[in-house]
Amino acid sequence: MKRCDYACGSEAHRLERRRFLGGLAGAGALLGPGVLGGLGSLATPAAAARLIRNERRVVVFNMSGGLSQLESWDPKPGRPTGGPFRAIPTSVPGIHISELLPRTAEQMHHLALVRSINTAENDHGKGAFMMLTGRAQVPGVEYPRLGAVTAKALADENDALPGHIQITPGGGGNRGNDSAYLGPKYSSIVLGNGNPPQNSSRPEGISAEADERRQAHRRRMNEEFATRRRTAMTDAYVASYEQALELMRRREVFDVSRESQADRDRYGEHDFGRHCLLARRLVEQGITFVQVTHSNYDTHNENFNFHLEQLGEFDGPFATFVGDLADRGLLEHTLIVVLSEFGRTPGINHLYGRDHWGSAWSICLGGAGIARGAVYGATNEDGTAVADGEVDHGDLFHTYLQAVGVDSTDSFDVDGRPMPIGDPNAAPIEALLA
Amino acid sequence: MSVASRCAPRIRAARLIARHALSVRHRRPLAWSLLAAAVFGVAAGLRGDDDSAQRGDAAAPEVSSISVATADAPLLRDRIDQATAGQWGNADWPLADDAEFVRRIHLDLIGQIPSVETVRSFLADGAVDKRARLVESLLDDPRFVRRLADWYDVSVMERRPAVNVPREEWIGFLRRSFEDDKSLRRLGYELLVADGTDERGRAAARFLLDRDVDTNVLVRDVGRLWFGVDLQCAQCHDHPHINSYRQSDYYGLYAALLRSSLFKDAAGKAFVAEKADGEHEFVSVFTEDKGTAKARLIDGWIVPDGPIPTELPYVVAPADGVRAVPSMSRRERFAEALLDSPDRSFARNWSNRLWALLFGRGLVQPLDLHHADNPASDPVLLEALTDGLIENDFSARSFVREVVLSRTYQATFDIERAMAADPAPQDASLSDATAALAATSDTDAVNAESAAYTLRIAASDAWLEANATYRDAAAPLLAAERRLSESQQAEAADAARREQLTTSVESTRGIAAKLSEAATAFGLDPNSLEVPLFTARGDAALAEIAAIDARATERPATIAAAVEQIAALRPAADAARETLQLRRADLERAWQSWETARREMAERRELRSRIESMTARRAAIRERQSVETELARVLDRSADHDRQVAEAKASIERLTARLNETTVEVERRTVESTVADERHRDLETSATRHRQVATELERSLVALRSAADLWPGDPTLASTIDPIASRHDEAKRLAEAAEGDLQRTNDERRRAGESIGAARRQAEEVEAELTAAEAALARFDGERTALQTQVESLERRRAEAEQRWIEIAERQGAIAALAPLTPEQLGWSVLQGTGVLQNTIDATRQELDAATPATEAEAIDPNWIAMRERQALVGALDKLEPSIGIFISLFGNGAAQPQDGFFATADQSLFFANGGTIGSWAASGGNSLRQRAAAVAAEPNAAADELALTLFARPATERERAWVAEALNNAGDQMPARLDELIWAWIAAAEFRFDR
Repeated sequence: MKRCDYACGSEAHRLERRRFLGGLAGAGALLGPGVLGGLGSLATPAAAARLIRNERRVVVFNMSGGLSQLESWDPKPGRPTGGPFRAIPTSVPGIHISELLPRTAEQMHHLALVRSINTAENDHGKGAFMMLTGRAQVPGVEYPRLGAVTAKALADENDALPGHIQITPGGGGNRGNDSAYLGPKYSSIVLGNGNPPQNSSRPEGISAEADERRQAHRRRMNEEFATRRRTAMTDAYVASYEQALELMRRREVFDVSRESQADRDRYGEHDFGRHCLLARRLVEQGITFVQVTHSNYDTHNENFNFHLEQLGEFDGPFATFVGDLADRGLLEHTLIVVLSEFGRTPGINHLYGRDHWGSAWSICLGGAGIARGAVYGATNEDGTAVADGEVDHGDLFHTYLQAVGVDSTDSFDVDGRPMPIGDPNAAPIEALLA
Repeated sequence: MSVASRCAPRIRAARLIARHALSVRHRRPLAWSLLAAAVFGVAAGLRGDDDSAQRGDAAAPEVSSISVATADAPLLRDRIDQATAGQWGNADWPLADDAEFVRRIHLDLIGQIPSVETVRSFLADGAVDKRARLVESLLDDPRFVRRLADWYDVSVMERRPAVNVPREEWIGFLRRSFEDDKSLRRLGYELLVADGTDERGRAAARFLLDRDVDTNVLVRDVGRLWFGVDLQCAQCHDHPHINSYRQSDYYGLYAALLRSSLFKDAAGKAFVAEKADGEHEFVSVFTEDKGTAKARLIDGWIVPDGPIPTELPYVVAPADGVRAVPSMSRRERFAEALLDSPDRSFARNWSNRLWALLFGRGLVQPLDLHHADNPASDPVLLEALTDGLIENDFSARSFVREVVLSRTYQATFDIERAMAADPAPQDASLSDATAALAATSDTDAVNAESAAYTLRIAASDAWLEANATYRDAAAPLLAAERRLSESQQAEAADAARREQLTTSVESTRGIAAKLSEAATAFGLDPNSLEVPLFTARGDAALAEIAAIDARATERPATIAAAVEQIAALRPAADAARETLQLRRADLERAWQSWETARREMAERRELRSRIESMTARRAAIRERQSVETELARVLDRSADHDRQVAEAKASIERLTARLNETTVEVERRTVESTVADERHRDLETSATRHRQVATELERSLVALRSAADLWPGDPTLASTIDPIASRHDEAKRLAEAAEGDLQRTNDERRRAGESIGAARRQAEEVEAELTAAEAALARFDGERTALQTQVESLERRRAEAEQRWIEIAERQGAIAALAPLTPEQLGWSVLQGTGVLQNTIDATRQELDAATPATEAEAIDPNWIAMRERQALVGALDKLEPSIGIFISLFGNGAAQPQDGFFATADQSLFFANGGTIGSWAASGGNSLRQRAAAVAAEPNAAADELALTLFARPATERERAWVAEALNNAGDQMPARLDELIWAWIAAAEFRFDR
């Protein structure tokens, strides 16, 4: 076969051919097992300039175990259910929160509260599922977590860096199983205790030159094979190695020790402080979704001592995080959510504890498209029921996505089957959307 | 929560879905969708709700009614090829070469690439039947059973974690099942009926138990995995964008499974319990149709309840902490229907899944989306496969053997060869198909199907009615039989108890008497010691005996009554059963006719799609040919252009040089002229001065002479006049001389001016020529760019045509598709390729030989040697199995998600690059790839072949040999490291990752 010598070599021409092949693959998706994600990586070079500042991002603080709304966002001082702590004024006149969050109170003008959540669910697993997927758990159906949805909707799919990251107190650096039908490309990469992703640095035994040599061998073999058969799958496979190399080149993104000593001091050297600083670093580097877990708020006994201690650790780094994002102009594009699987009972048990409580509780959120300094809904005097503006996990899920510009009423197309992004039975809380 | 309220929120989603579905459908050619609507919409419209007309219940039919192959039925492999040849238009499509085949068949049958020894000996083997022999030896390999067990496990459990049954037990159960060549239908039956109480068969209960026996989960998964239909959306309404999925399908499965639930005993061990009651009333959110769901298989085969003994619904009644067991298990009846109904959807689904095991994708894809709007890429082939699976009694082994021996399976991967062999450009086959389609009419086919369907429904109604009659007749009979058997059991139990009690009375009496004697002997009260206790025990036993005897007197009457009752009831029940069996036979005949009619419709549709795809394939081939011609022409033109451009460039070069020369000349002459001008100006200046001097002196002379006239004789005046006069003359002479010079320089100036003009004119001429030449070049360049664009667009068109052709040819089985290795295949292939597997086999054999050395006789017995080899292999597989886990976690989809998709993520390649696993395996000693390649490293071609034969089952190409030579030349002591780099790169290459 005759080939034209000057038409084949140019990068632009190759790119065109790739685009073309990518397009074909999309059209043929119903005909064969499709490629789950990763295809778009072929359309533009991974190093394409990204407008980091304008990208929308989401940071979730998951108060694992069930944060008490009464010791945080919805205090009831002086009431039989109120417990020993006072309420303090915040930077927004009229809004009071628990005295356990003095630094956060100073940032209230950047934040908003929802005080009227009724998820009617008192089980840890189910509650967490509902709050992170916006759906009730239906047997036989898995839904992608907020991070996977956000990454799918917002992240640049050409980016070698993962769009969905979880910072957990412990655990490994593996891939989470939380993307359901969106496929593993959108599963979280878990940064156990803030460590970088698994296998992201070259082993000691292999020099940079050796790595270059073997990668060059690999590329030559692939080019040769592509002349025999080239499909969306082979392209995606070949591209995944280039993405891995790109991720290795940018590995310092995950290295919190690169932050200044002053910042490290401001956030604190304890784990949660480091994790918050890492979250800031990731957001600044353009990571779409970061979830930081703070554990553990499941205070069936000694609720007050535990909250004093836990929120004491949470308050400073969180408030610093909010303030930093605001100062750096990132808050405008970044949604912050502080959530739990549920709240805690207004009634105080005989062990000075509070139990699981899904029927009248609160979350805190702010940034991106959320109205600043707003309070949505209310509980009654003793906090035993929602008195005004009842919402549930489905409504909140829509609200988060709308706040970062995602049309949550749209659907993802999964292998020809449309999957609604948010629960079609729920709706965003318009009053919270600025 | 009622169904209606749960569904309400879904309406909006459904609308979105419907909108989407509409846009998808619009992509199909309009004519075809109209036709499809005409053919199938009419049939569906006539039909209404399948089972609204069917009522009642029937006994479990005993005999399998699935059609059996006639003795002269062609082999499945030939039927596969026939179907493919029909699509392709020719029975002679190019086959894979030996290298392609040997890799493919190993990956597909034993789940890993072949060993290098196997590749070498297979490539060297000249026997014509070598492929068939290799297939037989691989079907006999222990890895084949493991591959099937893994495939089945991943298919039905979708990588769920093992919770209620340990994974080893489950996988062991599957391996034994495939070792015994258990029918897939039997296996499907066992998974549905197992309740976990049978300790040895507990593994089979994992399917239900690890889904928590949740009805919704089971309905979805039984629908998807047993029948290939995902009924998720039909839960609340007829499927919004898939016409053939109906709510009645969903609730048919729902009704079969809703009585079953998870039961945990006091120790927390899980079992399946089932209730004797529970119906599902459903309401469609769209039509508000209501109904009580009847258990049924997907194609509409109703599974009626069997008779229940009157007032005795349970064998074990439900109670706290008790596992309920009903007298009639609806789940079991449903599972039995799998075994003996003429329903084909189960067989069709597993044919498709087995096909996907071997081809990397199903004829219907996604595997769980069998429906009218997503037809099989080759429906006739799928029906042939379904027939084949049924005829081979659902044997996965036989099915696989037939498929891999077909030409279709052995199609080449080489596009060039296959395209060259494509007979599509000839019209003959196309017009044959068109004629075949025209020979009958769609209306006839539709009418025939409708008529057969109506008969089927009528037969079904009659059968269900007979079943109701039989149920009514059998219920009291079964109750009487149960009472009789209970009485008989009680009688036997009483007799045994009585015997026991009699012995007890004697011994307690004896003891009491002895104790009493002893007490008397010691002078104690005869009623002291334990005497009263034993006396009382004896009395109690006597009382119980009396009660037993009392019961015994009544019992013969009870038994006699039951016997009488049974005798009275049996004739009616027997008659009802007989009628039922007749109706059942009628129904099966009606069902078969309906299947035949349906198949004719499907065949027409297939013919139509065959015409469509042959036309498309022919168009693609023609497009490619015309593009090739056009491309050749454009490339010729572009060669002309290259020549013209070269000429234009040369002449520009020449002209530019001349322009330079002429410009230099113009400059030189200009300089000369400037010099002449300056001299002329100097001369002018000096002439003017001399003239002024002469004029002034003349004026002085006139004045002096006047003065001398006035004062004649003044000597001073007279002496002054003379020198001044001579000065004046001199000045005059000088002025005149200058005038002469001026005249000369003026001539010079004129001449210089003229010469500049000439030079300039020449330069202008050259410049004009140059401009013209440049314009020509620009024109040629423009044309060349246009040609380049044309070439690019032609190449794109060619690639598009090729891609279209490849897609069709892949779908038709005329070329081999590229299929990604499963996580298991990938892991085992790396273990095989690096040599870790062979090393482990060798080590295991040594352990076995050390533990139980061969006797002298054994050491020369080929059977014993083969057995030991097999033991060593199995031992090695068991040892290495945990290493596959990391591949599963990285390359597999999440738990409970479909596992047949492909995705490539950075964490996979990071693992390959940096995880250490691949590197350390590659760096193994012993008989590893690295060691073997190192042994021949001095001969780079041999090293390249060792790598390519091991990893790709083919010799190295020339270019690969050159690369290996380049890497190994002068490597010195770095040679092993260079080899490691090569091995890693070739394992990480796309060719290794895919099965072709």
